[in-house]
Amino acid sequence: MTQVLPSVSLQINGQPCTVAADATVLQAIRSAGLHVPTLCHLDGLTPVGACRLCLVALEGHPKLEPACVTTVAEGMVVHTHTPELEGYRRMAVELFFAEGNHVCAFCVANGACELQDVAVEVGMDHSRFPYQYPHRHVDASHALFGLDHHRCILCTRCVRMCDEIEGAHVWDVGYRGSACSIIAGLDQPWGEVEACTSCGKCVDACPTGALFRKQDATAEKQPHPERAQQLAAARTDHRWRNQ
Amino acid sequence: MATTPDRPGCHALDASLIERLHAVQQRHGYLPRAELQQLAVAMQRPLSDVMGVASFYHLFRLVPPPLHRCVVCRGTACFVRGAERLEAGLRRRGVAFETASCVGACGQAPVLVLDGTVGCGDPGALPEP
Repeated sequence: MTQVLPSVSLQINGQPCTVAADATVLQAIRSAGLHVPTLCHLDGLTPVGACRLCLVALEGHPKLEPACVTTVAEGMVVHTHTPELEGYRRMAVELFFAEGNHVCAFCVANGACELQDVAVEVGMDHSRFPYQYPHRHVDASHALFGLDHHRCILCTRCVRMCDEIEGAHVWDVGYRGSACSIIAGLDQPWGEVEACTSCGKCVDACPTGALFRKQDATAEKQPHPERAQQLAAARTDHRWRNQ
Repeated sequence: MATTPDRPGCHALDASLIERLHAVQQRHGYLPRAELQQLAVAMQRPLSDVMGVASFYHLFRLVPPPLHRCVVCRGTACFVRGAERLEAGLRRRGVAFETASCVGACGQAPVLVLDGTVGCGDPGALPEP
């Protein structure tokens, strides 16, 4: 049954590597044992290239490309950590912090937050951009879970998790620009949306403390980003690793 | 139109959402929630998906339009001729208004569109609050 796919050779940070021809640059980077920061990417979900943290430089290519949605090509020469890329990455993280209301000190995800982790990784100690302090709200209408829009970075992981894995499509992205937000149903309180199966997979997928279980207090959130990949593998390949 | 169920195997399901939203807005003047819900049911699409499209475009209204419509043009010519003062003046008088990027009548700047009639909105000529 195993099908041998054609493979391509490429170079990442001077290190040669060979991957399947349909692999993404991000998969190639990881298979070579290297790392680029990501936020919107989650194995098991369709990549969207929204967070721009996985931008890489390709030699002979005029612009930077997000590794998660770029397919590898024969002879590709990839650089993951040039001074230019590191500058942009830090800037992107600063913008995430400036456009929301991220206060780690009393956040459920403190210590288990991917936004916090990338901030440490890119060496962000302050934002050069003025904080927007947007007026957002908290949706606590669901019996089990809550959504704090202040902490949402619009990565759309919950949207894709609910659509692709659970099949309920409770979430989507509503409005635009600075008013952009995650919406449930017809922009209703979450608890009123009948389509919601209360499975909690959106909470598992959320990289920050935006989606949380109501019983969790400060720094008590335990995210499970690995579940998307496990469920996708069980469904498509009939391999169960989520024992 | 919003409630007509689609025939199975219709290929234009995704493509027709915006046209259908336009039809609903034409009939009601805005997009009532009940109509959005019926549209989603008829098209077998998630509610949040329909709402995502409806809320993205400025041309779709999600709340009933006011009795009178007042649009202030924010084009370059209007800006130079005092559109900001016009907006401030209207705000001071408690007039609800919308803004447009350019309505293409720069000769009458600063332009004010009242119930579809384009005219010059001289901020100095507003009645006393």
